[in-house]
Amino acid sequence: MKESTPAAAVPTSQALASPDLASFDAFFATQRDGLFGALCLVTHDRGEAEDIAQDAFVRVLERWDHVGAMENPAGYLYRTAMNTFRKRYRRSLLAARRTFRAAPPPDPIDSVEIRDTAARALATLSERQRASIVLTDLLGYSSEEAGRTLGIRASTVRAHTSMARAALRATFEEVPG
Amino acid sequence: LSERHVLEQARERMGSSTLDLDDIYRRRARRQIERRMAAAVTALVIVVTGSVLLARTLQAAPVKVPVGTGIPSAAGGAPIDVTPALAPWVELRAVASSDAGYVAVGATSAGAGDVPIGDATDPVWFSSDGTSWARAPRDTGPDSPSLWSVTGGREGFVAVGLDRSGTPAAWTSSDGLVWARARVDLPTGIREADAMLGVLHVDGGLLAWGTVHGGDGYVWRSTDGRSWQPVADESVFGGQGHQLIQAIGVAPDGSLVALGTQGPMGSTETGSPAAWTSVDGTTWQRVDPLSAERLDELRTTTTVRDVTVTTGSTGTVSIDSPMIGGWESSITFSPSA
Repeated sequence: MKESTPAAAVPTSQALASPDLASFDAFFATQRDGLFGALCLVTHDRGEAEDIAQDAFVRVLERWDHVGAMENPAGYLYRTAMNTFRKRYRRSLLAARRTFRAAPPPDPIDSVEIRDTAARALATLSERQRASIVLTDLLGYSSEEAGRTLGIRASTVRAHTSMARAALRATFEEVPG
Repeated sequence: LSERHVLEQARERMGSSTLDLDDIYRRRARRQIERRMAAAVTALVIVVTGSVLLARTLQAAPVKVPVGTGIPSAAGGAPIDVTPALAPWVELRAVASSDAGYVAVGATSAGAGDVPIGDATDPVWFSSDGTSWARAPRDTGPDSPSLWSVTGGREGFVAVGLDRSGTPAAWTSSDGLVWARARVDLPTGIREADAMLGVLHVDGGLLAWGTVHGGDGYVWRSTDGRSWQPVADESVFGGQGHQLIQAIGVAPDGSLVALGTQGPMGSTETGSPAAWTSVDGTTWQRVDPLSAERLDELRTTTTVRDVTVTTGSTGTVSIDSPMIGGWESSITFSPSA
């Protein structure tokens, strides 16, 4: 039994029939901002989102002759990205990555959050809660699929998603109109 | 407003990524170079190890390579990469041996490609000869989605990781196939990402380390692997921010050295080197941070008998290039003759 691709997960690129590099370039252009935005919501860190997105695109490129021929390469891209997120979250593998790097400049995501009520509500949640609601409600994963991607049980995903939805609803109930 | 609509709007407001297509191609090229370098280092280790073993076991029997496992021929005693004999989605992390054979542990990578759903657990593989591998039976294997380390000895194997509920846990096995849950004393306040991450034999028993409270290091001691207790003062592995023990090794003078990172709580991206030392494994003290070069030790190559597992981050760590790539693992079998 193979892992299924979330039906309504992501838009499918139009130019993916031929598994050549030109089609990868088109795939990249089509998917870049959508994946980045989703990862921003999950990680609440634009730098982290860029890193994970880049890593996912590189992995897809390495297997493009196979991935490009898939029915939904974007689904593979998102699974790869979320798997990278899970690994980083679980092990803090990159803990030493910025050891000797200067402090980063102020992250523009903060200014985005001030304007965006949903992003502000998501910021109050844990990484797992954010990932759960993004995977299920935004990308269309089932709880079971999201659980496998995040390495947690489906029931935990449902609990996280429920709490995240409540946080979103509570935020919008506070905002008139 | 539906949740999806709200999330779509939030995603759009995150704006455009600065990712550049050229960066993707450059990083792919760099990864290819790193892989070749890692393969060269691994091959060197295998050659050296094989030479030593050859010298020690001149009368070793020729290896019979199973047909149809996808393992290349062993003609001429060349090293065999047995990684293909395991499932392609396997993330190998450690290997150990005992008189019964070899045990490799790791995790499945759910979400990366065509992952069989039924294989999201069962992270133990066993081999009696180093070339033919099979998963430990589900009904007798550890009930774990992820194991981080294993050690072997005369009494059998000890594996550590986390159980299906996300609790740090350890298991023992005399034969690598039938595993029993160990009793692990845990502090209160265990969180989802906590786990036992490493285990090794020391004088007087075993030592294991891991993470608790979502960001504190923790060390356990055991005389037999079946019962684990905290060391005398766990507070040296805690404190403000996160402390992560990456590895514990034995220094040339016989003392124990724990190496890891420390950084702001809640961040998985920042950190600086951290180290602890102990003479007896029970009483630990924190020592000054190590030099950057020592972070190379985050990548480890372990050889037991004639199986080598290389695991850790790709790339190198130095002051000039403080970067670690993705987690990569490989396992090779180097026949003695």
